[in-house]
Amino acid sequence: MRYLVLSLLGFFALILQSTILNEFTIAGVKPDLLLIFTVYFALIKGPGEGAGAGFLLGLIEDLYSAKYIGLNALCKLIIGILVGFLEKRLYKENFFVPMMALFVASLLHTFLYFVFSNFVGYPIPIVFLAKIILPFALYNTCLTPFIYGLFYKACTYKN
Amino acid sequence: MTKFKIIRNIILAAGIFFLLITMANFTGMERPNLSPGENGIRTIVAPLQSGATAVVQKFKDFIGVFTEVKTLREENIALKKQISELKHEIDLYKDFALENIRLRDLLEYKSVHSGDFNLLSAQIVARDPGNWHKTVIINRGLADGVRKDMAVVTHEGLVGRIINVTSRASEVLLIIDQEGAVGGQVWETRETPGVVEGKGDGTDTLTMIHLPHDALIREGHTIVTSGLGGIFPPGIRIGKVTEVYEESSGLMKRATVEPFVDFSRLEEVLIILDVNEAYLLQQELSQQSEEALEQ
Repeated sequence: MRYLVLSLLGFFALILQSTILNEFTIAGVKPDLLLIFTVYFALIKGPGEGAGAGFLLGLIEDLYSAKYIGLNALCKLIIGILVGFLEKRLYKENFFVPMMALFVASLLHTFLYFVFSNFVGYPIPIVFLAKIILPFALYNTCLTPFIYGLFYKACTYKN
Repeated sequence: MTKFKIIRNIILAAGIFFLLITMANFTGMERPNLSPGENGIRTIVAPLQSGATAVVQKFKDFIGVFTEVKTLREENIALKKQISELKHEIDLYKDFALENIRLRDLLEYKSVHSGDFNLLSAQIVARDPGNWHKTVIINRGLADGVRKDMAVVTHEGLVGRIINVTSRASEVLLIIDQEGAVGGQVWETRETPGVVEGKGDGTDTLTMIHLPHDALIREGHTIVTSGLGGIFPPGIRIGKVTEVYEESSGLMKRATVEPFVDFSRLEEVLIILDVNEAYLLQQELSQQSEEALEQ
């Protein structure tokens, strides 16, 4: 059930990213809502479920894009695990924690995508990476105040 | 954790890693057909994207009402003035047009440019959800006669080509993507074939590569499709050369090309369903005559 809701959320995010968010690009980048959801979910639920969420959301994105299937799934799976390890160690009700986690996760996600894209025959020029990595992380991080509260409530609702 | 469990986890992680990387490797930018899963997702998502794009457009129009009143008023006055001037000019051009037709007949020109392509208009309903790839989704698909590898243009110039088709939507790989290479040549000289591809640095500029050291290419030259490769018909405008420089090896030259199409404002495009034989013949003849002239 939880993953079904997450999948629907993923679809919704993809539609937003491919349409409306094109009007809100800053410094040439738009946010990655699927990554944001992965990070929040992992932070609240831990590494196991974080990995599952990352893999699922990444795979949805890959299947939608229909190119290099597995690339986003792999990157987001790794992010899900790593962020998940913070679950027990940090006081996640504090707003600052998801923001920092998301910032670092975004940097890492971009870097992982850059590295893995070389393995699959789509080498991304390093200038592109340099141009995109910081604005992307900052943009994602800035969305935390608007999304995290709702997401946290929804995830902990039954408990 | 026991030693056994650690080893098991490492093997599992390595397995997943190689599985996903291999899958990504086999499902690169272009495949003959989409899998049923991908097809299904697109079929479901496309109408929702159309709706979302329509809402965005409505909203922009609505906001525009408030922000543009003053400019519109000024523009209106200017335009009215322009209309009267243009009307006068149109009369002049009508004379020219008639003269043109007469001259054309005289020279026995058989093909008229407007009949060169069989075109289908399409609207862009979505862009790539990520930041890396330069693709767009348009609202025409198999049902409208769109097929893979058809060229996509606007009145300004070349946009890209179709890489995936579903029943009601298709994906266009834009020429500004680093994978979207096009065979190009200099229009002014009708020679200097090279490959035009996206610079791949996130900007909308193109690079023309594989140019011989002594190639006749200058700033300001217009680059058009060469027709080599068979996907794009020859003679479609691509962009203007803004810079020519030597490659680091010193053996080849490269040129930076600014595309004619404004990709950030792309909303409507035309798909070339069919190229008239006469057009291809005409392109070939003009190429040959240029070469003959040089000799």
